[in-house]
This record gives sequence, structure tokens and C-alpha cells, in this order.
Amino acid sequence: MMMGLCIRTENWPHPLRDLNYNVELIEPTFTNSKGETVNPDLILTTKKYNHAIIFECKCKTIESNQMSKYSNILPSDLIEKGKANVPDPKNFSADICIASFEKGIKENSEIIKYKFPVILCEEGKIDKHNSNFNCIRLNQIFPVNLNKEHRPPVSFYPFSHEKEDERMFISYVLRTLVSRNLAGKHENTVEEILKDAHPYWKNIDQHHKKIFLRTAECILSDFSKGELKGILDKIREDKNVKYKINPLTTNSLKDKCEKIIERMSKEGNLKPYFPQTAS
Amino acid sequence: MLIQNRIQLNEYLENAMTNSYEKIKEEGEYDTYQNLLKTYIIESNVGLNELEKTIKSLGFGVTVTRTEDNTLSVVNIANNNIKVTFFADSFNSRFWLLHTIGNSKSTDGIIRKTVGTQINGLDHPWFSTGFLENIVKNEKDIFRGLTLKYDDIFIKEEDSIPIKSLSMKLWGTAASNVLKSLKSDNDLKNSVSISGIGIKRNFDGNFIIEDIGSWGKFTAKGTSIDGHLQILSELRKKYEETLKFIEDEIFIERKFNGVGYNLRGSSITIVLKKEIKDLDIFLNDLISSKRPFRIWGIKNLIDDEFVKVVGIDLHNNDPLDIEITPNWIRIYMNKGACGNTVMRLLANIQRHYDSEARIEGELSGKII
Repeated sequence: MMMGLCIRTENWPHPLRDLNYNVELIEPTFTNSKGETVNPDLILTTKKYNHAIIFECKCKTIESNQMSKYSNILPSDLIEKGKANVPDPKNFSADICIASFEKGIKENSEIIKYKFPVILCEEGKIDKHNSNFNCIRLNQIFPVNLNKEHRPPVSFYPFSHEKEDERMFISYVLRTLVSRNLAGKHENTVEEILKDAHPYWKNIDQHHKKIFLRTAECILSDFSKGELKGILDKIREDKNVKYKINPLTTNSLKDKCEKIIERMSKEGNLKPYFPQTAS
Repeated sequence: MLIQNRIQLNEYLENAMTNSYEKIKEEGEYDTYQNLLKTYIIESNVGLNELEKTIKSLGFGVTVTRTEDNTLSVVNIANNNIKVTFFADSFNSRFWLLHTIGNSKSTDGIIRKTVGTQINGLDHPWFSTGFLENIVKNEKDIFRGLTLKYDDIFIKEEDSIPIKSLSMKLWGTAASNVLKSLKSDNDLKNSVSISGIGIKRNFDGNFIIEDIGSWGKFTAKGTSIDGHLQILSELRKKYEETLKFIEDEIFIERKFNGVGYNLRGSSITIVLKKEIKDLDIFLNDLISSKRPFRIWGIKNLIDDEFVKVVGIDLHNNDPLDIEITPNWIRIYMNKGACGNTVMRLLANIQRHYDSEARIEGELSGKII
């Protein structure tokens, strides 16, 4: 959603692009002023207004420790550590911003405590809550009105580790299995699959990589015994677990995959795969 | 005739072309299957050996004979019923030219089957309605006529729709007036899909009459082989520029720079003028893995009128993400993928669903 606001996308407003904001970095890792490692989702910068927005996109889960680390990011961290390119670093400003589709997130005590601006995608608009940005011109674009044709681009960052993205995550894992199978790679470890499936895999932090690996393993193992039995096989080779698709089943796999996704859409996930964290 | 180089080939093709033209003049109407000079453009992401391999896999006997020019080969194809020769010019390694004077029923079939085989890296160029209309605007060319072909493959038989299929040949100077009338009719306007254009061009006392098909088939009559090759070269270049623009400027690049990812690129949106009534039925055909779309995918319902497809283009095994509503289709592909996927999608949506479908917004005019 946020990337779409600064990238030309038809049927989605891009007011940040009009202020010359660009995608500077996705999934960056750097240290804050206290030397703690931070890994926000996205940094947008505008040379025109000498400003950066550091985005954390959230559904429900807010980790207190993470918010505390973000509060210790200074604009000079971005400059000194080469995370923002602007023409006038001495007058450069930056804001941490929480972006979400969840209305309730603006009431979160951690977010309120640190006075982070919150951008919410709501019914008919995208609006700013809680605090202002340090860039006056940026504050003026809100609310951004949405019409009935507007739909956010959901493919620049296709899925996160949050529960809401589980169906999408499964689709990407299955797509990767099929694609690797078509390329002649019939037996695949979970890590090989995820390296192809997640477009930002290299810079996902270790903690979240483990979540993805564990979740994918659990999903594929379940599917090989259940809905994809006879199509997807689990193979053990020494200490490695690999997954193999029967090369002749690409089309029946597609039908079964859609049934899985459809079932999950209708019934919700009977067995949630991503770990559930308290809000 | 033994062809060893391009000079010999041009001489051979020009003789064949002139003879058939003389015959048409003498005998009047010519049969569709007569052996006119035809050139098929093939979009390729592989070497010429893939062509041989694919044709063999279809059950044909194939011999490929190299000439003294390493970008020119003679491909002889035969089985019990068919015997044809193609002269394969791979000087442009991305867009091959396959010349033949073989019977068009046989040669069309072989080319369609060969290109339609999954994951072989071969495809047709897909000239959209807009691309073909633009050919006519060239001042050097005299417009002779056009063919329309439309077949709605997304609608079930029992549905009552104004036009299920339309096939029409409009030849003569008033053809464009008829086209205008068809486009202004509410029931017809989404079914006016141009499948071919006929032009004539003069070259210093010689001339060429060219029929250009939307799938990259060029049928030539006249007295100038240079004219035929010139028209081929111009249109191939124009199409190649469009593909290069899509691949270099639009396809998404996620570059890891050691600390994070830089992102460049965006999506392409096809805007429909005919609303999709049932996204599920539409997508079942679009991502069925079958020709003409050749897309495999998994549907994800985001809201009642917004679906995301996580797919694969089976032409090259390129990942493809599609976001679709009843009124538009957003396409995302990664750097390194083949831009022909976008053109295949656009041209075939025009041919099989909505001839008014266009790339709109900032990319309008840059991709037609």
C-alpha cells in the first residue's frame, strides 16, 4: 500500500510520488543512535523536501521492544549510515511511521507513547493519525481520498509473516514449487523454495526467516499428507527434508491449490500456521 | 534449390514471389492455400536448436542444414502428409524470421504448434489492435483492407451476449469507414478486434502488397523482395522497442545492495471497457494454462471485486502477479522476464474479450 503511494500505479493514488518521494530501501538493516539493530519495512525519501519516512507496516502485532528501538533512530543515523540520499543532510528530517489497515492500531499504547504518526487505510480514504510528520508539505496531503475503483497494489511486497498474509504466503510457496518443478528442479528444500518465493529474502532478519522456514515446513508437511497427497511428496535425505512434486501433476496441483486457498478464505485457517502473538 | 547465403535466398524468394503474383494476375482469384511467400516472426529466448527439438517432439521429421552464414539455416520438415521448407534467419537472435513458400495450411499449423508447446522459450509477436491500426497511419503505405476476428472465450454458450464471435474481411478504401461504424455501435464496439491489415507500398517502380497478421505472419505479393524485408524490419523494430521498454523500464527490479533492497519499476494496467461480470469464470479461462494465454496461477480473493493471481507464464516459466477487478488488470513481472507476456495478454484480451481494452494512464501510447 505505502509503496503504491510513491510508485506510478493506475487506480491507486500516488500523492507521495507528487512530493518526489522514492523507495530508498526495502527491508533495510542498520543501527540506531544507541547501537541497536533495527529492520524497518521501508524507507522513502524525498530530495525535494529533504525528508525520509521510515515505515513499519503492521496488522496487529506491536512489539514494545521494536517500538523502543525505532524511537532511538535519529535522522543522522540515516545519513551517517548511508540509508538516505538527500542534497542537504544538515537540514534533513525523518519520521518513523506505522502503516496499517487495522483501525485499532492508532490506540496502541506503545505507538501513542512514542508519538509516531500512523497512516491508516480506511473506508474511502487513507488518513494520518496521532501525530504530524516533520515535513509540513507531507501533512497537507492527508486525507487521501479513495474512490470505488481504487485498489492498493499488493504485489510490490507480497506477504509478511503476519497471520493476514498466510493465504498469500502459501500461494507463493506453491507457485515456487511449481516453477522450480517446471525448471527441472523436482526436489527442493524449504530454504530453496523460500529464497525464490520471498522477493526480499536476503535481508529478512534471522528471527523472521526462522518463522517463515518453520511455517513453510509445517504447511508443506501437512499438505503432503493431506490435500496434496500423491502430488507432493516429503522425502528425507540424510538430515535434509525435501519436497517433490510429481512432474505430471501441474494442472491438478493448480486445482488443489485453489481449493486450499478457497477453503482458507471461506472457513478461515482451521490450523493457523504463522505463530500468533498477542496484540 | 540449394541455398547457401542471403543473396541466393533473396533471389529465390523474389522469384517465387514474382511468379506467384504473375499467376494471380493471370488466373484471377487465388486460393488461400496457394504457395505465396510468407514470413513468420518468432519471438525467441533460446537458440535455434530449440526449434528443431520442439518440431521433432511434435512427431515431424526435421533436418536443419546450416548455410555458409551462421545466422541462416534451412529447415526441412516432413511427415506422411506434409513436406515444407523454412529458411530460418536468426540474425536478430530475439526475433527470428522464418520464410517459406510452402502451403500455408501446413506452415501455419507447424508454426502454431511449435510455438504453442510449453516452456520452450518461443512465442509469436502479438500485434494488438492499436499496433495494427498504427501501421495504417504510415504515410508510405496505401491501406488496402483489414480483417476482424473476435471470439469471446470467456462466455458460456447459454449466456445471451450481443456478440459471441465476429469474423469479417473488409477490403477496399472504404474499409476504415466500416470500421468506424462498427466501433460506434454499442453492441459491437467491444468485438471489433483487428486480426490483420493489408497494405501496399511502392519502391522505385516496384511494389509490395503485404498482408500482416496479428500473430506475426506476413504474406507478400508483388515485385520487390526488398520491400517485403523492409516492412518486416520496420515492424519488427517497432515491436522490439515496445518489448524493450516494458522489460527495461517497467519490469520490477529488486536489487540487494548489502543493507537493503532498492526497487525500480512498476506495474502495467490494462483497462477494460467491457466490465467483467464474473471474475471467477473469467479467471478460470485466463489462468487455465491453455493457449492463447498460457498462464498458470492460483487465485486469491482480496475482496468481492478484487482478486490477486499468483501465476507463472508457461511460455518461459516467468513468475507473474496479476491483480484484477471487473474493470482493469494490473500486471507485475520481474526484471529478466519476457515482455511478450504483456503483449500476449493485451492482444488476446482484445481478441477474446474486449477489443477496446487498452494500456491507459502514463504508459498509454508507449505500449500499444
